[in-house]
Amino acid sequence: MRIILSVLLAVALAGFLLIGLQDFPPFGEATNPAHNAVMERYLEDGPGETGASNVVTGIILDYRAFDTFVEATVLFSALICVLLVLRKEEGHADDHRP
Amino acid sequence: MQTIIVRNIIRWLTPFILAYGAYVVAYGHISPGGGFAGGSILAAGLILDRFAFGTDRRGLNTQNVLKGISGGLFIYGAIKGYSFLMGKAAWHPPLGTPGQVLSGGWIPLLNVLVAVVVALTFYGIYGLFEEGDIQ
Repeated sequence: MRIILSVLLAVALAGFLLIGLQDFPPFGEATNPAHNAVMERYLEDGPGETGASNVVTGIILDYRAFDTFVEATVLFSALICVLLVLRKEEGHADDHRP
Repeated sequence: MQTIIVRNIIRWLTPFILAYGAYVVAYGHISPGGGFAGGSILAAGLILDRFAFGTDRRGLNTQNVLKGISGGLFIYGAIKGYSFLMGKAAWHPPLGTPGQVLSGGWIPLLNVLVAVVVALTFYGIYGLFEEGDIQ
């Protein structure tokens, strides 16, 4: 019974996603929203505006600097989680484990 | 602590790895690379050194590692928060000519901060998995 329910749920979810896919623009057209002015602006004015001849670095550390900031924060959170789980507490005062 | 062969090879290898990591970080705005890649290379050097010589040679204990990561993140957030809040009016170091090492406004400093965060994080995770503590 659970298996049938799971299959039905999965099929329904896939159906909803496929319905959403109907509204996508056709693949590879020159007039798609993804091909807008942002790309040209970054490639042509990037080195002049950011001062970095490596356009990728200019994007990730200047135009999209907050994205990089939060990526580094995610790394930090991962370290904190590993610290909480794996750190050995030796001779801790309130350690009541047998 | 490893055998003398491993220790000697790592003693000769580590400065080259650290220098290459510093190069990748410092030239991140000119050539491929940057804070994440260079920080990983620096972390590889630190981890090799720890693997061979243990932890008693440096001040990289738990407190200092966490202080370094938090400080790097804080300075990064302060600089870029100021830039984003002020918009065009924000002061930044002179852009210079693209292609020079000292060019790009804040970008070299931000690269160094990201590298510090990444290197210390990887070092800390290695220490936690190996011995259960960073120091």
